Amino acid sequence: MRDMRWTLPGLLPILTIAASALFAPVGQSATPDTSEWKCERCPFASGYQADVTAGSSYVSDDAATIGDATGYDEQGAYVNVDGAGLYATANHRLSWRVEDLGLDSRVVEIDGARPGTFAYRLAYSQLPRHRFDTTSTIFTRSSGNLLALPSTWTFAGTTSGLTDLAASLVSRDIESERRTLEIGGQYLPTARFRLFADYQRQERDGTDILGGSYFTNSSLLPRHFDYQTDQVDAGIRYDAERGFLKLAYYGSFFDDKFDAVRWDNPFVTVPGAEQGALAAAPDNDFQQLVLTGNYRAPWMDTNISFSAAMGRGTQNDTLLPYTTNANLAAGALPRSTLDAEIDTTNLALTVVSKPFPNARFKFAIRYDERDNKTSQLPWSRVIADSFLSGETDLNVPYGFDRLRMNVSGDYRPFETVRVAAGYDYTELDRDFQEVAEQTEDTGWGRVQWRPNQYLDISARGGISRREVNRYDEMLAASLGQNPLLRKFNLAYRYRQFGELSASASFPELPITIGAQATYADDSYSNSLLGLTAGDELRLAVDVSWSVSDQASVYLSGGFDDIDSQQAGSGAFSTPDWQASHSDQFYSAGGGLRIAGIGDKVDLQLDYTRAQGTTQIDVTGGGGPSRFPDLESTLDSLRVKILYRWSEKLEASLQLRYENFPTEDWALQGVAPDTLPTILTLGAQPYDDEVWIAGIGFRYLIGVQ
Amino acid sequence: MTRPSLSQFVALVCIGLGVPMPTFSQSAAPAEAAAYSTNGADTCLACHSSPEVLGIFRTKHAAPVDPRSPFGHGQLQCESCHGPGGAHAGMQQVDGKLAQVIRFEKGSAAGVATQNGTCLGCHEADTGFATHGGAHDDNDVSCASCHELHTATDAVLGTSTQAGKCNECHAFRKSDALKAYSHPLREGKMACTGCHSPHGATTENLLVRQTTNDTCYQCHAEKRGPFLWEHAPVAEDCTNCHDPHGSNQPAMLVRRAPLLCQSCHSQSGHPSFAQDAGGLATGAPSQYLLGQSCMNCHSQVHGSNHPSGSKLMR
Repeated sequence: MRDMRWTLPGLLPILTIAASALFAPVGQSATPDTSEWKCERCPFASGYQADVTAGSSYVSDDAATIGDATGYDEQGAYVNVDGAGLYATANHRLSWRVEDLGLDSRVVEIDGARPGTFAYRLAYSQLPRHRFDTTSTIFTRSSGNLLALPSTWTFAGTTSGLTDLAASLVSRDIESERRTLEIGGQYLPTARFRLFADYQRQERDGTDILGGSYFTNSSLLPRHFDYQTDQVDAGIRYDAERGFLKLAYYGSFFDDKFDAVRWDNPFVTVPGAEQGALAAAPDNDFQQLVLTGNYRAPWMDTNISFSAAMGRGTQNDTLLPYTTNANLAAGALPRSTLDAEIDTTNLALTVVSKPFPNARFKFAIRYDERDNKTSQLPWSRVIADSFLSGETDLNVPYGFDRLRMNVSGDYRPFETVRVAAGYDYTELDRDFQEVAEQTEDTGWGRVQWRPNQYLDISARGGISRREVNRYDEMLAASLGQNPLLRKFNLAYRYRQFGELSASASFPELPITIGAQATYADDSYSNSLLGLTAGDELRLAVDVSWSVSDQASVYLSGGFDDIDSQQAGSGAFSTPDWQASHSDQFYSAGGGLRIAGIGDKVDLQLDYTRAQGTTQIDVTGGGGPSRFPDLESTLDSLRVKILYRWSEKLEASLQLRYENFPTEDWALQGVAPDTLPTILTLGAQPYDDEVWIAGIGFRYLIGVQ
Repeated sequence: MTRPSLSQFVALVCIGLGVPMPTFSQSAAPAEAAAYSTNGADTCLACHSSPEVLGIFRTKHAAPVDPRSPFGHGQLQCESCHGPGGAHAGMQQVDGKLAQVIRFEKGSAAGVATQNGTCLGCHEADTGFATHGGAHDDNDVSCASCHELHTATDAVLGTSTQAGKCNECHAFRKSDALKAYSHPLREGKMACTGCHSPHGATTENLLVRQTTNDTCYQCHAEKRGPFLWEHAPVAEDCTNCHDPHGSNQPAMLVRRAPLLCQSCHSQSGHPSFAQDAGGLATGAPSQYLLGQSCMNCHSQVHGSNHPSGSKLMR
């Protein structure tokens, strides 16, 4: 680690310079005499205005994926309310907004202010997550977050011998909910100072899937979790004529209601290992002080920005014992809590200057450090609550520091052409990993051509080379790794990349077209094992046409192809198997908007199709190499017809169709007892098809 | 052979493409002192009184009590942003056309620098400290490309509508959000600004917190640790394994397990064995391939705080 510490005395000279620069006087521009301006025609917001939509929807089927984040997860009728309102006086503004009030995805927001003096905000939101509704389990959650077996249960060594399994399975959805409460405000004691404070509480609870292993067996557990995170952002900002300074505090405090996930082992175990325990996510906190500032220098149109942050993360949750197995003499823990501590340092400086009207230079430097101060201690290990490993492991407090530098310049040789070039340098030093020092050099160039305000074409390209000082094969060997392996984030890499983008507007029609393409090719040519190559191609096109003042049409499309190749060695020697992984994804969509049909009706229509395909080949394993394609297809149609009864009242009819079939060999046909050694939850690939039909009435209150 | 200069090269390209020759850039001529209108907004609203214009009066910009507001006492009202309108209101002609004020729209004669300079005159600090030299500044994005000012609800400030606005330029992100596994942007329940600071930051990819991981931990603090047994790539960068914009793979993984895991784990025994299609449910079902793959047993991939958890199984 670099010995780079910023203490307050060390920062003082910088602060002094920054502050003196901020206070530097600048010229005042002349303004007219506005004392006679009355603004009698100005319809300032006054009184109460609101816009409320109430309606009802019917969902045709249960569907986890459609209900994910929306709340429409079950078949049936839903009542919903959306709305927004504003109450304004000469001195005060109070606005509110509700969204999906009748659904599990509801949002309520209240914002108020005495403009120029203070402002406040109160918000509450819910986010439902629905992952699987095809899962079933034998476990029942009892006190202490224990996942207990049925009262009648026959133990066996493999799933085929679990004779009570079929009769014991109970449907259990994998789902959770996030609830977020936000309270915040700011106060402006003077025109230059601003005090702000925001508090947020996130509560997240529900069920997810966690593997609970027992030696050669494992059970996928419907693990219940209950998290709470409190976050605070508070600080003070000073605005000067030529910049500002901001000192802010960020605190994040995570609380897990459970210390462990305990479960009864459904398989035959060694005596004493009938129950297992996984450590739950530990309570932890992170606090940070951030000083940011900006100075607009009076010379060469120069702007200087900086940021300096110092943070500390701690974790001292009480540790679980080595094992739940009372028959094993595992010994005492080296300490009852880890007392883990991470210190972070983040420093950044950016200077942008325009010494000439048609040239700009930029220099940016950034330093990030994660200094893991957690003590290294010797820990015994019990294997799956069944055996003493007889080994002592040292915990590894990973840390790193990273330096990034960027120098770039752009120049307009003509009014219509801009050329730019840059050089990026990254240096990454790590503790306790196979590569201690790593650098990456990137050079790039860009040309942009704007012959007029309606056409913009740009091309960017470059190369990047990541070098490592040494791949420590001794360290890798101590971890049992094949010495030929190069982890992809620690490996030598040569990258070529390019981007093209174009946008064109034809104002007479009027049509706007945008197209983008990006390509990257990675070569890990020094890696015999691990990731050896990768490439990525992405394309996107958008076309919009304003047919008339009342009608518009759009079309969009996208295509991704992300490929990688890797090699492995089953014999723990030279490469004897190869794998290729190809992710393809395309999307196409279109829609139209027609407003004022017969002065009464608006129509909106949107259709999207998105299809993802993953092709995997593994050769050299002795079995069939080609996997069935992993596929997902989304068809989404949304139609909205709006009818204006009067200036105050509108009625809307909405129709939504979503179809999401998938093919996933990791789940397809995998019943709870399909795998001999793993008791699964039997989750099946998504195959959801839903119609949602709704009607709503929107009423406007007050003067709009 | 003498190499052509850049100017000559561009001229050749232009001739070849049949487009008008670009003109050499010139510094702007000093503008004459422009006159303001005589009665401020009352002058403007005499002609410009459509609902699209009057929408400004439902916004924070039209708060007379706020001395910083364009409509605050003593301020220049419409001309605070649109610039001196005396010539325009007086129907004066410039180059045979009605004199213009600053318009905030694509193709405006005012240019991006003038438009943004007007906004930053008041919002320099609000927009963050690194607007200058940030990605949007580098690409000459005007404030009005994203913000609508004459409306009570600026789409880019709403959680449910923001992504639509950002995706007008960030087209790849639009398709990412349609992938089988993605954050809930398509559903309008998450905004791009949950992670990114579009007005500029000194952080990589304009992230709202100092690092990628710090940004992720805002919502996923259970993965922050520090754990007794850390997983090195997790502690360094979440994007080693996840693509936060969306993926074909569960949990937004960059590759399907077990291949993702095997690109770093080569220990003798099951980590290094080829897991081919023979291990599917229709063949000899493999516990290394099906269900949660490696996570069937090594479920604590983000780190374990269990004293016996060094293999991330506890």
